[in-house]
Amino acid sequence: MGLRRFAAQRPFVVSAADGTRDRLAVEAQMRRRRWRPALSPAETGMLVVCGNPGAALAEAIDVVWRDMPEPRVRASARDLDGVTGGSRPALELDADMADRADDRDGLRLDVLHVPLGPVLSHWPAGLRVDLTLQGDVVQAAEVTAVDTGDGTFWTEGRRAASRLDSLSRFLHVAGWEAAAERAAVLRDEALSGADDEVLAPRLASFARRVRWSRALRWMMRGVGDVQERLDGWLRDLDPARGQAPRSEPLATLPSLLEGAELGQARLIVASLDPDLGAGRDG
Amino acid sequence: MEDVAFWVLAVAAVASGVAVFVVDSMARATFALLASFLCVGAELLLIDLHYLGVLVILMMIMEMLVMAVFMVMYMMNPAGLMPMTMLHNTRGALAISGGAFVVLAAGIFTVPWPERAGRPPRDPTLALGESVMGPKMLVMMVIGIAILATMIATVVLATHRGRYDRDGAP
Amino acid sequence: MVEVVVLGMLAVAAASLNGAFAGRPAEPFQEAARLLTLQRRRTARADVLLTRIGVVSLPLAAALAALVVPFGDRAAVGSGVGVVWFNAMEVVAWGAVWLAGWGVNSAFGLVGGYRFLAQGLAYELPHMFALITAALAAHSLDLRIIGEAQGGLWFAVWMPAAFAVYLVSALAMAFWGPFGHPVGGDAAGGVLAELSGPDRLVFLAGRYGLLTVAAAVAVPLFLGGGAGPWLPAWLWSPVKTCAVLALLVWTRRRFPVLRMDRAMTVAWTVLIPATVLQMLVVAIVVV
Repeated sequence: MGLRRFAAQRPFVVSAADGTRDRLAVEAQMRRRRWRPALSPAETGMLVVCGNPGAALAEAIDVVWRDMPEPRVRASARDLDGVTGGSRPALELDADMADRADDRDGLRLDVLHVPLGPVLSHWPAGLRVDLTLQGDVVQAAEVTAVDTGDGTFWTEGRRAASRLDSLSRFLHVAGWEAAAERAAVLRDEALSGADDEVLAPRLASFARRVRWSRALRWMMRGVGDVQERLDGWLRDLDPARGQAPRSEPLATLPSLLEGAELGQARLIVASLDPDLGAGRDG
Repeated sequence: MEDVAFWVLAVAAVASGVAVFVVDSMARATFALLASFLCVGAELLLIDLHYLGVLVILMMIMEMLVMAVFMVMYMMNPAGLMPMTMLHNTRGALAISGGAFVVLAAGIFTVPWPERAGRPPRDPTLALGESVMGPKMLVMMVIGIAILATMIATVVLATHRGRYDRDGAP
Repeated sequence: MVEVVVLGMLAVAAASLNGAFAGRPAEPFQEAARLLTLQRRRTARADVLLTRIGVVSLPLAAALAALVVPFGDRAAVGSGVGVVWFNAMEVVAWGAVWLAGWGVNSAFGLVGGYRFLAQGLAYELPHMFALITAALAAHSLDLRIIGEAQGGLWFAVWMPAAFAVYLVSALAMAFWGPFGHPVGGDAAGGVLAELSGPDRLVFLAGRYGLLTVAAAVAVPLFLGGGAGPWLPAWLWSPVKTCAVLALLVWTRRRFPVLRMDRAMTVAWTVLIPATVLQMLVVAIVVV
């Protein structure tokens, strides 16, 4: 059909904990083809799975795949054109009734249980955070590593690229698409071993742009240590001033999220950006 | 043509008013009520009261959505998973509403309606503004500011730290 | 009616410009083709009726608002209360977005819907004050008369605060760019999260329509309507609209998204006092 051939694809990309290499390849290919990623599975019929998901993640991906609108295409990093999916099984209804609890303002409000991840755009691969929401405020959070890898892609030699990858995810969550896309381009340049003399000024100008954004500062102020972590990443882009990464254990995450608005919670997770590909304690 | 539009809107207003008590979800009830108000606003447009008509449409949409915030936010289940009913204390409500209907209907027939004097003004919006604001400008302004101040003060007093643990700085 | 059609074409141009900023000028057409050939998916226990009403109301509100937009001194419907009508149609968008977010039965959609209500409520007052300031100076609620009342000196020049607040709040009303939190990426697309296929296309078209109409109304309100040298009045209006629209579209590339739990404070503590003071100044000057 002519209309369909004219349309640009918009893949929904899911990465397993060991799928970083695949994901970077997919993102580069998508940029070449001028495709944009989908934010939610309902937006598209195309699913791209990167890496080798373990059983738990594979199950979550299957649930999402079953619900995607037709015509459905399932693709991988090796074959981005993908294969057309089969027909859909019947929709299952399993809606929980809402229960109630006292909220922080002394009101008795409905409680909503919302899982974030493991299949969510601009989200750390393999992570799942179960939120208990009242309105849009997080009352409680529970963190699970659904999928783990056995060795990180982000070795010490790839530190600047690693920071750019985290920055790209963070800026997407912060709703600054243009800067996020720029970070991804710079990341790929850094990985391809671009000349330092060419790359360094580009990195510096990017860091300046992000650092000087007053709107971004304003949105980060007072949201945990988000701003400090972002500044740390930006410092790390400069090879002369970079420091060894400090990793914060996942166990601290729930206490950071409690009391945050949903958008703030996303920023906090994005600023920690745990790499589950490095193993359980990553 | 205008007569047809009048009757269509009138029937739609009453029908969506009835729908408020028939539907089983809070969201549907809210928007059925809104539909009823919108029909009334359109009736005002029909008799060339453009400003009042558009104002009714504007204010009623805002009001119903504020209602959606206040009523539905306490039951934050999307699409209203739990069916509910808008009918409570049916017998008492029936007696009261029946009584009110009889009194109002009796009023229609017993009140001596005045004969029409004068003609509609050329610009009803201007006439409305002058009759409301002309002699009582000061009163209206004071009431307006008082209402706004009360709204803000109530919200400020009701929350001691804001919903989002604000850090003090905007 | 030709004015409404032209505004519709400008809405497509706005989508194209947004794509062009990212190197994809054909994006709106490719997206339309993609979404038209994609199945319309239903979520479990969705309120389909309310969702559909919400999705369709958004472009409908934009089209109805476009009816009163004058090009030069001609509008599709020459309403004496155009300013109020335009604002009423913007408020229809609140209902549309909330319904679309609520109806699909998804937590992300619901959060998006509520974000937009908070945003709408916070930015409606400064928006209204900015509209009324221009109307006050021209002694009329008719957009054509307001446009003609600026002989020589545009309202944007001598009431800059009202103009600036209008542009900011217009972005908020069309949930575009820095005010795109209701459809934010942090909630998997918010209100858009569960809209698929044609539903999504219609909703997105409505948003571009709303943005375009808001840009077009800025012209008679603050930029002298059809006034200008060389070109006829009916051409100056769309030309100025294009300039305002390009500025509004560009904000999306330039700024990150503002969260309403923060940005609401600015509406109450900065924008409302600014517009009230501006109105006071204008009232003293014209009376």
